[in-house]
Amino acid sequence: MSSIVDESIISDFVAESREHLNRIEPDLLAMEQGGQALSQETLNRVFRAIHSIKGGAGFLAFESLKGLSHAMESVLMLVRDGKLGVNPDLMDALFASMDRLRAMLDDIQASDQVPIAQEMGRLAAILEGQGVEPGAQVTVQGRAGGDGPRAFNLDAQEVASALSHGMNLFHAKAFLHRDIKDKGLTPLGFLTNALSVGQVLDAYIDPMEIAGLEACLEQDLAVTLLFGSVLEQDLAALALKLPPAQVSMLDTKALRKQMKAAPSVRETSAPLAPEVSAPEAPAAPPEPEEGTEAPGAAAEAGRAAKGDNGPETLRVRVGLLTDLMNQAGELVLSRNQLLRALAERGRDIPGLNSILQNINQVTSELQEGIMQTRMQPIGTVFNRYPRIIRDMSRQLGKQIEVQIKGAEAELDKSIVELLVDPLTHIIRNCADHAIESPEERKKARKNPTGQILLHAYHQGGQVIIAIKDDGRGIDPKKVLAKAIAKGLIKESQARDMSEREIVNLVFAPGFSTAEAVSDISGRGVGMDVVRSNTEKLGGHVELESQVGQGTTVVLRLPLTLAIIPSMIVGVSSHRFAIPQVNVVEFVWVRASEVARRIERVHGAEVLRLRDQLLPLIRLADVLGIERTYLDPVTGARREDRRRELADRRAPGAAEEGEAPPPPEASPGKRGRKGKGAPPPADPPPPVARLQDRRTDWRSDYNIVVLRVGSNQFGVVVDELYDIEEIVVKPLSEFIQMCKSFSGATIMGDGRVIMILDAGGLVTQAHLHFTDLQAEEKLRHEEEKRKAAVAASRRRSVIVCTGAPGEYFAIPQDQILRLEKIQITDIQRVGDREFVDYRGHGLPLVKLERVIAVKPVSGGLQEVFMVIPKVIEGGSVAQAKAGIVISDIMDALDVEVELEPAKVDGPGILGSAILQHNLTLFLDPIEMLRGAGLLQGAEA
Amino acid sequence: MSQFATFRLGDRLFGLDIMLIREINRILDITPVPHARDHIRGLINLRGQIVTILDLAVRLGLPSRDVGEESHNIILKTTGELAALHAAGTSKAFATSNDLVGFLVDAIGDVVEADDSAIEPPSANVSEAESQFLAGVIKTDAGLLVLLDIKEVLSSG
Repeated sequence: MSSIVDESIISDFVAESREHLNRIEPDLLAMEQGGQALSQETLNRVFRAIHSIKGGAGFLAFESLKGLSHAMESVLMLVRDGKLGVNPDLMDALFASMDRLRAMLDDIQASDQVPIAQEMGRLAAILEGQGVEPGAQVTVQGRAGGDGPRAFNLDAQEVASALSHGMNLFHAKAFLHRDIKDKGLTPLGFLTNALSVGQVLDAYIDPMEIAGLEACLEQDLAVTLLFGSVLEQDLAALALKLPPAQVSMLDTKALRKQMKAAPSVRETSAPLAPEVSAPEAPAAPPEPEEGTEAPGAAAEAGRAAKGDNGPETLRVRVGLLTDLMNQAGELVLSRNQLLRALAERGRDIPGLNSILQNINQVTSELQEGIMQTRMQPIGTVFNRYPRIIRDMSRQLGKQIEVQIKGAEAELDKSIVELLVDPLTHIIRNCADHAIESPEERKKARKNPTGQILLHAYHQGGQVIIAIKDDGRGIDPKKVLAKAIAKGLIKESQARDMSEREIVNLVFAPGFSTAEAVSDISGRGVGMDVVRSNTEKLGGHVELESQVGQGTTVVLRLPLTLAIIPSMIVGVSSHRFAIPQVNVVEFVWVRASEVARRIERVHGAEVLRLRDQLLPLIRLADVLGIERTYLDPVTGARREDRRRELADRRAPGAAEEGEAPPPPEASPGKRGRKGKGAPPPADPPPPVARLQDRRTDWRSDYNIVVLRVGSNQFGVVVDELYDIEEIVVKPLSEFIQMCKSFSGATIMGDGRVIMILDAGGLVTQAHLHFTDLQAEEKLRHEEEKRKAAVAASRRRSVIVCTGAPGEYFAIPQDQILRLEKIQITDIQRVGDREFVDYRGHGLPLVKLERVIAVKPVSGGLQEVFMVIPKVIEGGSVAQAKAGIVISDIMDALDVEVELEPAKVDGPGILGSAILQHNLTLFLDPIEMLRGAGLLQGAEA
Repeated sequence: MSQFATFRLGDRLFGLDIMLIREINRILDITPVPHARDHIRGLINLRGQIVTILDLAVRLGLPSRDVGEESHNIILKTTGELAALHAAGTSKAFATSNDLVGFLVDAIGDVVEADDSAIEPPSANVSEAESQFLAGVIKTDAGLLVLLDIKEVLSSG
């Protein structure tokens, strides 16, 4: 039968059906997770998708496909109508059936050979469990007036559902040429249109209606459609774009009555015996019958028409896209020529400028749009894994959750396609080997539900895809033992290997075997296949693992063909693209600040950026391009004779070689491109002009700070242009050895420019970050030291008074206690004074006894005693004496520069003005020592 | 019988089997590639595809050429395209490169037809460096036509 139908219709149907299945897979997963609280919208979407597959399959006479999708539809209808709740068995059956549908679509012509008995059985069991007799049929009578057949046998459940939604049933006949092709439709388009205004109960092309080949040629092939819609007959014909005579309403009166009497689906179908199918008996004229009114027709139709969500798509050959892309490029070139040629005429021809501007813009947008067509979000691959993991975790009795991040990251179509296999491999390994059973995870105090994270992002001019699990990880010891046992490495080699290197041995060819899996208790099956596949894409794969914590596999894919935002920079007359992922920031150093911001460490220039020292390279030097500058006087491009940025301080001396030569002796002067002889060595320009230039804004420095791994460095360029989205083209074999570049791209104006590779620049410029890190460490230490010195000037002091008008400050950290004592408690023994302190006689020191100050006033009733802190045998202890002061004024944090005090005596640190008073800073320990009261204790 | 596209570098006439040639153009906006080998002139945009242009003169040990009024690029078919032609029986077996590549030449000349038997080995007076790239010579009215060994010219050696 399908041979009657155009091949292209079938391939359209297959493509469309696949798209339907892909689209509803997430919905099915949502159904499963959402349980009962399921949105009607999700259900409708799933239902409609399966329904259209069924419709198309019936129409194209793929019986097996139609049968299975029909059974799925029946089950879904019960769920949609709220008669059946979602349960795992149901979902299993649906998922399994979906896979069968896929298998059938893969080889559509052999689709009848795909065994579906098991799936059909499961679905039938579910239906029977709900009292629905699968395959039950009802007979629907035709109506008078049309040339349609007298009666049809339709699926009882479907009819019941249609009727319960207030639909009328129609028989419609559409002629393949007259009604479909001549109107610019495709048969599938016709069907899709019908689906948008109602429900297609059956659709087929009946070759029996054609008597012979002759008739076929004359008669035009007819498509028969049994169709349920809330529309009235004339509206239905209009909606189907058919002449009214070809649409006739079927008699549903009897059915409706039965439905009212017996709402159960089974009972509706029961009294109606299955009959021979309608098309075989088309002869008798239909009986006259009145149709029944259906309420809310228009609203219902409108909702249905807009029902399908998601952006509409169209299938286009990739080759065509590539051609379009090239032609758009050509168009851009032509546009530029046009603009140049007409630039002069703008004033002569009125309106020309705005036309040109329009062409300019439309062309750019066109090119951009076409470039985007080849890109696909990585999500198209990622989104299949939740399903795979769901199936696996059910099989394995594990609980696994899949998270997806960065699904919108776009990659070239070809890369996306080639990623499927390696990714599937890694992810299956995750679920199978890495994630433990829920019991095991509980024992390890982990969440019983294992996590797998799929994460895609752009970095360092590459697309990174990380697959991270929180499973048991890979034990490097076991990997090592295995690798040695397999002879992949020697024991002597193993000694120098880091753990990271060891776990990455799982990628070695010949490492993985089935037995290795259980041994290593992580991943490892066929990882060499993953590696070789990734490398085929020009990518790189690496693995990080921590025992018990999990494993992360990182795929780094080249940006070949990926569209990446890049910063466009200029050096002399050249432009280069730097992938934006490498760009940390942009630093602009004014000519007047160059000397301060740029210095030299180990003979190389560095930029001081906040607390970091960044090595600097001049792009012109690294690439061997002559440095030029725009002469401020003439505006012409001249060779820049300075060798170092910092040379502006010594304009004369710089040339003579106080400065070491630049990292790369300017090879641009070789003149290898044959642009004439090397430029003659100009006599040095007048110093005055040089100095002008060096403070002129034209001598400002544009530095792009780039990141390679954890290292950063600055690249000095002449110009900074916009950030543009560029399409990366790989380097040809002739220039692949140029490590400074990762590819080339074509700019909007048609020119080719090179894409800089940050890592390559580091190698090319012989940057050594370690030297600088050492220097940075040194400077940090110096800073720390200085900070410590500064801190040492900071002190917390107790400010106190002796005689009125005399102020003293004693460092708090040298004071153990401050005690108030009554003058009457002070006892004299000869020359010395004591106070009873905690049962001991504590000697007192009066300030005036030790240093040249006035005595504390004798008229006081009480004074204070400072007991200094001493260290005895390594621990803090109380000094065996106290210093008498008259009052405590304040406790202060001060940062003062002490001046030598005018007063003499032991323990005087110096003096400073504190709160407007000249204050003597005292060292109490020294003071006690000076008074001869400190024995056997260290300060 | 083969047809040879002829072109000039300085005053010398060279020939290339016409089956090898994809197109001849004057896209002379050539982006140089820093650090590439000396005979790599740069890259051009051929309707959205990037083509590596060799400085054929430098490759043959001659001085580099300036771009002039008559300068042209000769773009070669890729190995894949040639294999398809060979499979279709419309061409001899040739191999160039998997990437698009072309030569910068001073001027384009006529197409010369010659029987394979007319091809003579290169004369002894060509320099050693040059003879490496020569497949043979044909005597024509316009002078000696030097045929290039394309494989050798494109080799990375």
